[in-house]
Amino acid sequence: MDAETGESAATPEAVSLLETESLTKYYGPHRGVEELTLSAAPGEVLGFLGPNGSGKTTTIRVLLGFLRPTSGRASVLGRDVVAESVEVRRHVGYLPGDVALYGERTGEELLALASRARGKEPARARELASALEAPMDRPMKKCSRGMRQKVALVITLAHDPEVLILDEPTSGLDPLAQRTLLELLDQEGRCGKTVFFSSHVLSEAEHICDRVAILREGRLVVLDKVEKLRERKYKEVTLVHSGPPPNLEGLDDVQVVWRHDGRMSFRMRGDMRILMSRLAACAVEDLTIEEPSLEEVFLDYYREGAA
Amino acid sequence: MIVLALDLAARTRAALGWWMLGILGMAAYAVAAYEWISGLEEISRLYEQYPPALRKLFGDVDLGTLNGWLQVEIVSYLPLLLAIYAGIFAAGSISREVEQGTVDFILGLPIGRTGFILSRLAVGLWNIFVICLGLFAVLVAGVAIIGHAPAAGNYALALTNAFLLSAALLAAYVAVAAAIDEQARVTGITLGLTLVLYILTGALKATDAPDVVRWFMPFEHYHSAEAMTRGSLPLLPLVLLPCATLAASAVACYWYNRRDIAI
Repeated sequence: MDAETGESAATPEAVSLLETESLTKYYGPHRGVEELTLSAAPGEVLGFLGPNGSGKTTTIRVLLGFLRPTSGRASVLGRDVVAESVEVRRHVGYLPGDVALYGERTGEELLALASRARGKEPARARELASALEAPMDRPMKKCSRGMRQKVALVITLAHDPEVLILDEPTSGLDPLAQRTLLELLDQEGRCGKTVFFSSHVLSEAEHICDRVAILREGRLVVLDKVEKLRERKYKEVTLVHSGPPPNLEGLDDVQVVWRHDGRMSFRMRGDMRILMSRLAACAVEDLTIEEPSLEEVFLDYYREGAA
Repeated sequence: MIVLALDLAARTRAALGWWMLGILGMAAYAVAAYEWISGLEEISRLYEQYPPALRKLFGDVDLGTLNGWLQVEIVSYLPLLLAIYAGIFAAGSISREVEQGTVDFILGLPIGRTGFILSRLAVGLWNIFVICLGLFAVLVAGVAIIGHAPAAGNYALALTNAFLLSAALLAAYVAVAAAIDEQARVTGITLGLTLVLYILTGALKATDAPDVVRWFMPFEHYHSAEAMTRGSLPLLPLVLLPCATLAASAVACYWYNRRDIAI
């Protein structure tokens, strides 16, 4: 395990509702996911990020019992996902990455089927259908992909599950519905539910996730809070000064990007107070410090991997 | 499992209706046609000139009698039709679910894989039973309508044998569908297998192949000619076919529980 990952994953909350331990899945000779160790606590929204083929869906399918792990283990709500798969799914709301529903059935009928299978009333169905504007009375074959996604989301969330496992939940949704859904997931987290969702749209994770896990080629490269990931990465500093430039020597991790005619741009990480004390000694006319976006953080991890 | 079975039964109702329309229509036509051939001695002689393999398949009966006629015209090859139905049903209700991704919706619910397979088997068996029941009703009513006394006990025995054989084949085809995800492949395999086994059964009967070889042919365990003409059935198929159904169902469940479901 990556040292960075080890540090992050070693901050487990007291209780983990979702946990994997050295989880490995191979499809014959092909790698799905390798040595994945992570956990999610109650009320946590955990983003599971990575490009296509990085192992996100494989992990989710193992958690739901669709795939058997090659080695390692995984549990949801303290139940083993292989031995107690049915019990796990009783308490989990699962949204597949590629939603497929029976074409001749309406959303209402599918919701009724899911409710009978769960033995639980879909208490929140009306509220959710209204919030997402899901066409519950229309046969699925007459619905667009986005509409089917909305119906599937209503079915997933309607019975108020303790854990939500969502594979790219915003795919196919219009921007308005995407926003509604992200707000909804944020609320679910605040209500104490664990939300585990995969995505390759980083801005989504940035807005609602407490922590994010980044996968690269089946391996976890980092698992940490979004702010901490940002802190670890370089900040972009742009400075306009009159007189001599500030003395940046001795500062850790400073990379000057360009310097020209009283302006300079550099990237740095580490203690900003030291930078400020250096800048105090020079005539600063303007200063911009930009936090890296999650996308930049993500791309950095991928560049590091490629290097 | 019951929830799934009821849902599947509702979704396959229309297809079942079309199958029943076809099979029961054929049966009604066969009954009606007896009026035209009854009393024609040529028809019995014509049947005696059939190739031995075909006569073995249809049964050694007198085509000039009502029960002999019904045996040749509909009852003898009923398991072939039901086996074709079973193959299509297994492919459509199991492989198709994986191929289209709807299995994710179903198995994302708190439903075990054994329950999923058993629900498919239960609905398949029920649908085959309904076809057999419908055929029984058409034979009894049709024969009464054309002014003859229906041999209801004989029909019931023959159709029971047809049901048991089709049930065993359905369970075997469900096991095939549990292992293969492509609907077209499963349909091709099961239909091809059905036709090969049916033709081979007739061929082996005609060549007087050893009993041990014939014993492995599923259609060998169909004794409708005996049931239709003498009103009796050997005990072996009544024991063997349910055992085969249970064994194939167990294989299907075991295999489906062990495999990965990757879309």
